[in-house]
Order: sequence, then C-alpha cells, then structure tokens
Amino acid sequence: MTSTDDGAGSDTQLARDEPWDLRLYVAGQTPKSLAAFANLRRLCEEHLAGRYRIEVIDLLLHPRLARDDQIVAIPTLVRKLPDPIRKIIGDLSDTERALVGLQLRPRTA
Amino acid sequence: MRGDDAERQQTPESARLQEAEETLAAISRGEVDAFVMRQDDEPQVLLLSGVERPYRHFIEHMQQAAITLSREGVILYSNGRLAELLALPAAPLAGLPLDEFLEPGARDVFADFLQRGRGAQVAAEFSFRRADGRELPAHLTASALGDTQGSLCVVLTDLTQQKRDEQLREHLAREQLARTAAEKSARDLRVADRRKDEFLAMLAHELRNPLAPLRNGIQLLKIIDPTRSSIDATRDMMERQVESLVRLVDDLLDVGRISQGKIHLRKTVVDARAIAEMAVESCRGTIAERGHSFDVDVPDDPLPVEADVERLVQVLVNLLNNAAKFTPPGGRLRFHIERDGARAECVFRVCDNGVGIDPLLLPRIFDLFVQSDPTIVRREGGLGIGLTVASRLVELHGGRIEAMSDGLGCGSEFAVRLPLLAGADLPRSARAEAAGRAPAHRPLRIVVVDDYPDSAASLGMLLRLLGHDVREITDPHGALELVLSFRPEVLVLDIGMPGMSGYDFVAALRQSGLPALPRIIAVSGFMSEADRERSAASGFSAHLAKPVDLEHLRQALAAPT
Repeated sequence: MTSTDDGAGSDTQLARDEPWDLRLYVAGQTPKSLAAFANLRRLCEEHLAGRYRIEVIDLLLHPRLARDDQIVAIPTLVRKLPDPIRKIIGDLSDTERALVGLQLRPRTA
Repeated sequence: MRGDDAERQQTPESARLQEAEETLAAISRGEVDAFVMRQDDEPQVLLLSGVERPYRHFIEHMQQAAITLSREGVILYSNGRLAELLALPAAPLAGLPLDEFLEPGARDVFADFLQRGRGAQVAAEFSFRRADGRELPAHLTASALGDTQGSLCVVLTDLTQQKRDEQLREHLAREQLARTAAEKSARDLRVADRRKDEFLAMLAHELRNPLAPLRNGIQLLKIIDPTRSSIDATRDMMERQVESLVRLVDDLLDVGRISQGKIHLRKTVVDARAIAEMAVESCRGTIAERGHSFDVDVPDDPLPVEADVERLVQVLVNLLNNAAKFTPPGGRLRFHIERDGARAECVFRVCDNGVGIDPLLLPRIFDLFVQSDPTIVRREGGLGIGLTVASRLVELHGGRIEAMSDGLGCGSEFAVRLPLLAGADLPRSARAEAAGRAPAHRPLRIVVVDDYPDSAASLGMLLRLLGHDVREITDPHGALELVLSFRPEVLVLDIGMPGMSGYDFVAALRQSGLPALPRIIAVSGFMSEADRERSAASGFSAHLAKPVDLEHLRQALAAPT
C-alpha cells in the first residue's frame, strides 16, 4: 500500500521517495500539544508510512530551542525535509488543511 | 508543481507575512494553547489559561474541598465541593473568612494551624458547622501556595462517613456484647427452666407419697363404719380435699411430662358420647354442689373417635370443673356434644354464664400459669395449669381446643374438636366397660411391699378390710423371704424403692426357685409410659398409680390372670 498515491497527481512525486523529517514543537502536555502529536502520528501513518521521523521538542523544558525555527505559537509543526522548510501552526485537527500545508495535497482554493 | 514553484520563489518577507497570517488564523481557530515570548531575548513559554482545564476539572470534581486562602484567612478560591459540604448554595464563597464556618471557640486554634501551614504542610481535624445546622467533621491539610502574597492551599476531607462508620462499629461491638449477654441469659433461663421442670416433677412425686395413705385412710373410714353419719361430713370433706389435691398433683405431673415430651397416649376407638358421659358422671357432684343448672345434650348417633379415654375424660372434667368454679353459684352450665359434618369433627362444647374471660387474656388462656382473675383463683384454688394440660392433650389427639368469651361477666365457651373416624366399628362401649363392677371376689393371700411405711400399712388395712389375708413389709430383702414363706397369690409391689427396685425384686424372686410367681400388681408414684411398658414386660398383671384408688385395686384383684 503506497499511501502517498492518493490521486493528488504529480504534486506528490516530490514526496514519493524522499525521507520526511518533521519537528513538532509543544509546551509540555497542554491539550493542543497532545492533540497535535496524535493528529501528526495518524497523518504520517496514513500518508508517509515507513519514511518519516518525528522529533518532539518540549519548549517548556527547552525554551531556547524556540529560536531555531522562530516559533511563536505552540503547537507548531516544522517540515525540515523535504526541502523547503514549511511551518504549520496549530493542532493539525483539520486534516485537509494539514495535508495542504505539508504539500501532500494541492491547494484547492 | 506550480504551487511549489511559487513557494520557492517567495521572498523572505512574503514568507514571514504568510506565517504571521497562518499563526493568527490558528489562534483564531483555537488550535494553539501556548506562546513563546521573548524577554531580554530569552524565550519563555506562556501557557493559555485554558490549559489548566484538566487540573481544574480534577479540583472541581474531587471528593475533597480545595480552598485557597489569603494571608488573612479569607477564601480566594474554593471548589464546588466546599459549598456542597457546607450545605450552601453553589454561589462563590470567595471573600468569606473560612473560620466563619467554625465554632467560635475553635478559631484561635485554626489561626494557629494556618500560621504553621505557611512554614510546612500541616494536618489537623476541625469541626465545621453546616448551613443546615449539622456538624461537619473534617480533616484539613494546609500548605503555602508559594506566591509572594503568602496564600495558603487548604484541602478539606469530609469525615462524616468515617465518624459514622466508627460509631457503627462501636454500636455493633456494643450490640455483639448485648447479644452475647442475651444468649448467656437465654442459656441460663433454659437451665433454670429445665430445673423448674425437674423440680415440678420431683414435687409432684413427693406430694403423692403422703396422699396415698391419706386416701387409703379415708376409704378405710368409709368401709369401717358406713352408718355413723356424724363423721360422714368430715370424711366427705376429707375425701373431696384429697381428691382435689390428687388432681393438682396429677396436673403438675402432666405439665412436667408434657413439657419434657414424655407423655404418650393409649388410643383406642371409642364413642365420644361415652367419654362425655364419663366426664359428666365425675363432675355432676361438684356442679350440683354449687347449685348450677346443668344441661347435657348428647346426639343419638355414635361418634367414633380415636382417643385415650382416660386423658380425654380428664380434659372434659377439667373444662367442666372450670365452668363450675368460674360461675357464681346458681349459674347455668351446658355440655353439648355434636357432629360437625363439614369438618368431619366431633365437638364437645362446655358453656357457662360465669365470670367470662378478659379479651386481652383470651389469646393466652392456654399458656402455662395464665389465670383469668387472680382473686377468683385464690378463692377457688388451682395453679393455672389445667387448661395448658387440656389443650396439649387435645393437640396430642390431633384435635384443638378453642376458648370463646364476650368478655368479663359474659360467660365462657370452650370447644374441644376431635377428628371423627369414618366408618369405624365401635367396640363394646367404653361406658359399659367403665361401669363394669368388679365381680364378687374370694379372699386372697396378699403381700404388700412398699418402702413408705404409711403407704404399706394403709394399703394393707384396705386389703384386709376387703377380706384378704395381707402381710405388709417395707424392706424388700425381708420381703423376699416373706414371699417364699407366705406364698401369696398376689404381690402388691412398689416400683420405686431405694436399694432394690420393684423390677430387681421380681428378678430376684424368679431366681428364688419359687414354683410359680404370684400375680404382681405394680404400684408407683411416677408412672411414665416406659414404666408401664417395662412393668408389662416384667410380667406384672396391673400397674396402678399412687395413691391407689380403691376401685382400681378391686378391679386389678378381680381381673383374671
């Protein structure tokens, strides 16, 4: 089952074989942080199974790490790879918006 | 693909603008609950207030009351549980001093408790007063909140249930003690009751002994000089008194036997009418003496029942005597025997227009020692056991006894109901049997063995007056020799002799080489069913109860061997 072949056409070719490196910034175990992590896991298993890596950074423990990606709001997901870097702000509860943000699905509007 | 190209071609400015827009959008959608702020270029995470919701949920729903107190002891915050525990409406309690809900006397102690709580966590029990006036026993912990204002966190646990459980445990422990005590006294009572039964049996037994010679003596007087009317009245009085003593003692004995389950009926098929007539015969004198009118109504058809004649007569005599006793002189007594076809029962009814029965007493009238009116009973005598004996005897017959009365002064009615036998063949009427007179007798050689000298002597005199050749002896060992030498035709033998019982005596007699045993009439004060069986098995031809009734003795002597 190749979960990336979701009918999005040539848009997804970029994503076909490259490894995905994702970084999730959270603040302890706030509800939105927990929700974002759960949503991200589900989303990756469905679309990037076997070729993704999630790094969770707790800014309550390491606030200075916020500098690296210039994080303002929490939770924020940063796509490090594939290039270019992309940020998705929020708890990823809207799957459609999250897929578009990660460029796993073309922008429709 | 074009989108990606567009992204790639974004200038840093437009990218930052887009990120800012997306951040704002995420905030407005509520997808964000923390921010990174920079103070002196040091990032700090700021959590939105909503993030404490799970903790607030815990606090609001826990079983304890959680309170934040200001330095002055005023409530800054409290969860809903505090209002619940204090039985207050759910309005916020902030602004009220917590010690307002304490007894005034406890407030100083409470202030000290809070003071210590600022240093380290402390715990203590306090009793609060609820809005409904009830007491709220509580366990409190207090600790510093750690802010600059010196606020305190207080957690209050309701101890009501715990106190109640403690009380319950104490209560149960007390109850257990009481139950143990009750069981002990019940055991003691049973022991005392058994002792009482034993005492009654012993008393009755002992009372019989002096009665036997008395009765014999009276009968002797009758035989010696039937013509001298001057002593007739005295003699009759003595006879009546002895008879009533015998009845009392018999009742006592019966109660003892019944309560120890030692009574056995010797049932035969008889005509209930014959039993009724026998009862009437024994009571007519008493009833006439008191000047009562007495109607007896007996049906023409036989009423076969299975009964111990002696016992049933005893029951009816008891009821008739009671009716005579508890009706002022000149009253009206009725005795009816009828067939209740619907229930296949034979009903004996004894009615009077006497003192009646208190309705309160009616349900207990058959209980032991219950008496209707103590003043009457004192005047008329009696132990209050006759009805108990009667009802138990009727029950042993498979029947029941009923008492009816409209109240004091309204007379009473007692009904004895026995099951009728269907299609039973009545043997020769019991009445005829009872009325059968002893045939003329020939003089007999008789030895009387009784360890009680008066009994032996008076019985001997009686027998001698009946024309017999009599030897009395109180020592059973000497009696053996006497029997061997005198060769009596009849041996009247006391069963309960110390040293050698009647049975032992007979056994010794059998081994003495006597060619033929004399006819043996056993006499005993305490006559159980086992005694009867044993005496029959030992070859005794009759077994008479002490005191010996002249008529019974005559019959026993006349009976064919």
